[in-house]
Amino acid sequence: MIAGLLPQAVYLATHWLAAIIIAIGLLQNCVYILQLAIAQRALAQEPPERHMRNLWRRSATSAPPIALLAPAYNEALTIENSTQSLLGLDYPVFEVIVINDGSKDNTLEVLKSAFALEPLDRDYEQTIPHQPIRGLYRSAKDARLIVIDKQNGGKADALNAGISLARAPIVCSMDADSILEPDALLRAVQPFVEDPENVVASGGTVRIANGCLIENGQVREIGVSHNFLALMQTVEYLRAFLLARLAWSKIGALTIVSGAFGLFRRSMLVEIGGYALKTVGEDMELVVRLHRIFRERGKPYRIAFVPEPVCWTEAPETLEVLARQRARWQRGALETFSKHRVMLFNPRYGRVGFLAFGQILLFDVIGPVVELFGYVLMPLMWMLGVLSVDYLLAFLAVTFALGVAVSVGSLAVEEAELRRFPKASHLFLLTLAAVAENFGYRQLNSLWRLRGLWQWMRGEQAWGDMHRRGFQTRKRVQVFAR
Amino acid sequence: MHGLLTFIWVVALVLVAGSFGTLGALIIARLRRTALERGDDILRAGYAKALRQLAITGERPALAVSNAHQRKVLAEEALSSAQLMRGSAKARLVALLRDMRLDRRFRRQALRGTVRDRLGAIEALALFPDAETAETLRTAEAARDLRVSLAALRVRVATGFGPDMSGLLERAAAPGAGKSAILQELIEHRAALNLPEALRLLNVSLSSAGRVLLLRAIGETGQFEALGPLKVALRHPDPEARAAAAGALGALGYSEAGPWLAHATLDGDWRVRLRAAEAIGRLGAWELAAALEPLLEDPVWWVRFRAEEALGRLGEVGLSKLADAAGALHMAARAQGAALAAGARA
Repeated sequence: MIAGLLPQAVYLATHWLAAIIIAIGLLQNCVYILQLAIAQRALAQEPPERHMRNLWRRSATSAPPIALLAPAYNEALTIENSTQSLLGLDYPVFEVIVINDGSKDNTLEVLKSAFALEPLDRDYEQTIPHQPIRGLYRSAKDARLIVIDKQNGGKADALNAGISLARAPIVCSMDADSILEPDALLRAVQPFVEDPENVVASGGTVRIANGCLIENGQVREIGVSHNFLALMQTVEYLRAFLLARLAWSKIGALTIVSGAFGLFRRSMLVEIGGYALKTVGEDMELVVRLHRIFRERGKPYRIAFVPEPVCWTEAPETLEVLARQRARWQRGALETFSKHRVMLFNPRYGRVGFLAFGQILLFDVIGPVVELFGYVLMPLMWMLGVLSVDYLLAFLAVTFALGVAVSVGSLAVEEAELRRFPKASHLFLLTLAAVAENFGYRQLNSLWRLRGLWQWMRGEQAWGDMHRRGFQTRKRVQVFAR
Repeated sequence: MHGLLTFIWVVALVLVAGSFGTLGALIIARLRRTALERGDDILRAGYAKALRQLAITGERPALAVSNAHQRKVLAEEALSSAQLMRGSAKARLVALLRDMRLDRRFRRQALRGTVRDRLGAIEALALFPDAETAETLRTAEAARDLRVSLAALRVRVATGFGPDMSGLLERAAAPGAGKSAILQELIEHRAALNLPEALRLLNVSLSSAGRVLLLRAIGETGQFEALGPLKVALRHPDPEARAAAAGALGALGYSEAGPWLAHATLDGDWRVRLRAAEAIGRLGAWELAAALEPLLEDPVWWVRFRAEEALGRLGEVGLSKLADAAGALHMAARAQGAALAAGARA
């Protein structure tokens, strides 16, 4: 046996390494299961109001004005529909600020002709950094629509320009090509209404629009995509973007409000300098910075997550684009972690320092490396004869079983508490996806995240191209390529 | 070592079996629900037609009700029809439902089952106002779920078996009940019918939530007699009561409340300042514009915003204050003030 030839020290080292990998894997899965339990409890205790009329009756009079910030870069094909859809939202007082971030196509011209834009004279002070504004317009058809034309600077830069110009106390950051449900604002603003003194940010759920029937910028019929990657992402978004974020918000340690849909108290954003410009994870960085500043100042605050306001987004359907997106997310998480590393396990930052940063360390920093190590090391140890095949199989079985349990459990919580998928066949398809994602998709994800880690170590800053099919027509759009 | 291996495998299998078992059950439940609801439109149309026939001709229709789902659909249709029917037609409908023993079923269902089913049954019991129903509703009011509890209370009040105003105010002490629009509506109704009793209750010991609901209800009456007691309530030690009193003075609508509201804008609690600002705007008391001006620099954004909104409602005087403020205040307030002034002019 090869094992017999190995020095005792190497033998022991490999065993310790294997034990650490197994322990980290188990810890990750335990965190997932805990998140699932917290989210299930939260949803069962406070089920979302199903009827819009009840929401309106209870909250409309006390709902603060909101400025919707929609940055757009080369969105000529969809900008008219997207803007129309935003103007059609059900909310008492809001304005839509579309920020044309130096598009190279005719995004601005489309807006000008579709909404009869006229030059607008609005005073503002540039208290947060962004590229110069070239022009400011208001729609003659709908006074709630304002368009900013500025030099290209990226999404964060465009949002900063929107924050400067906005006059509502609450701003909503989103992607121009995302679709908000009509009642999304009224639902997402609830934490600000209930606790206006302490709430500084509120996030909603982002769901996958692939497979849904979309007409005039509205989701008319919820469906499930038959594209393998989009299907995997549907399950993944349920687990990671709905239940995990709900759980983190319940324990006061939510570190991300999605850039696709999040509400912020404008005065706070101005006070802390708006979005950071030199990062690809500006949404996460902003929320972590809010935590850090409030904790350092010793001020009470709350960052909320509301599970029912839904923003629909288009998921990548090709490996190439998905790989780029995941690597970018990984870089964003690592940039934020590195920039605010002083918070890690620092009692001054409470749960955020211990739980949230501990989780980033476990999942984003060492997670991908450990997982890959596990997949390589276990068979290697077996080949070297230091691990029995029985244990290898048992280890793999429990790893996959935990993965399946977490994904299927997320789906079960969704069905029991929210029931957003209209057909039983959707659930069946998603159950298959929840199983299938453990055999290949997760491992690929780890690889992409490793690539993100590598890019971060090399200091790469590019966003990369996002090829989207578009909700209305097939199209190719570059999102903030720099 | 074999024990450990077995344990790992058992854990893995239990996890997988448990996950699939749970989701499988949920999928089966979904399939059953979908199958049940498939013919709903036809079923509803049939029931509606039969119930109309009953109302117009008095002829008893033959209603096919063979399962719980059909019973639920019939109950929903009967409830919709009952809202449109009056007098003898309604009496005939109720008699038919009683003959079908639906009242008993609703009573049973009001006390068990899912929240949604219980709510449906409780609302249906409004058609059967008798002592037995009142007893059932009283039991349902003890439900842990606030929605069930308050729905039962509302139906008990609607059927004439409800508690008096002080009984309703006691209910406000239950966790979450104080924010209930249902309880607010019930108390407002009682206060409108008997303002002296409502004013008397202001002087008895009440929970904080109960006092807030009572003050709001008194404000909604619009009666001049409420002015004095609300003024007194502005000095209550509980800030929520003071805020409610300020809001109620705005709802009451008498300009005599102006000086007291101006004083309330100086309150140490932001909620009181907020409600006072709103009330001044609601009254259109332009002579109080100066009292709103300091609130444009309030540390709480919501107070600032409501103050701006209130100034915007005070006409030229308010707008000129906003314009002045836009030139003098710090950035955040300045932008908002200017926005409101611009918006109001447009």
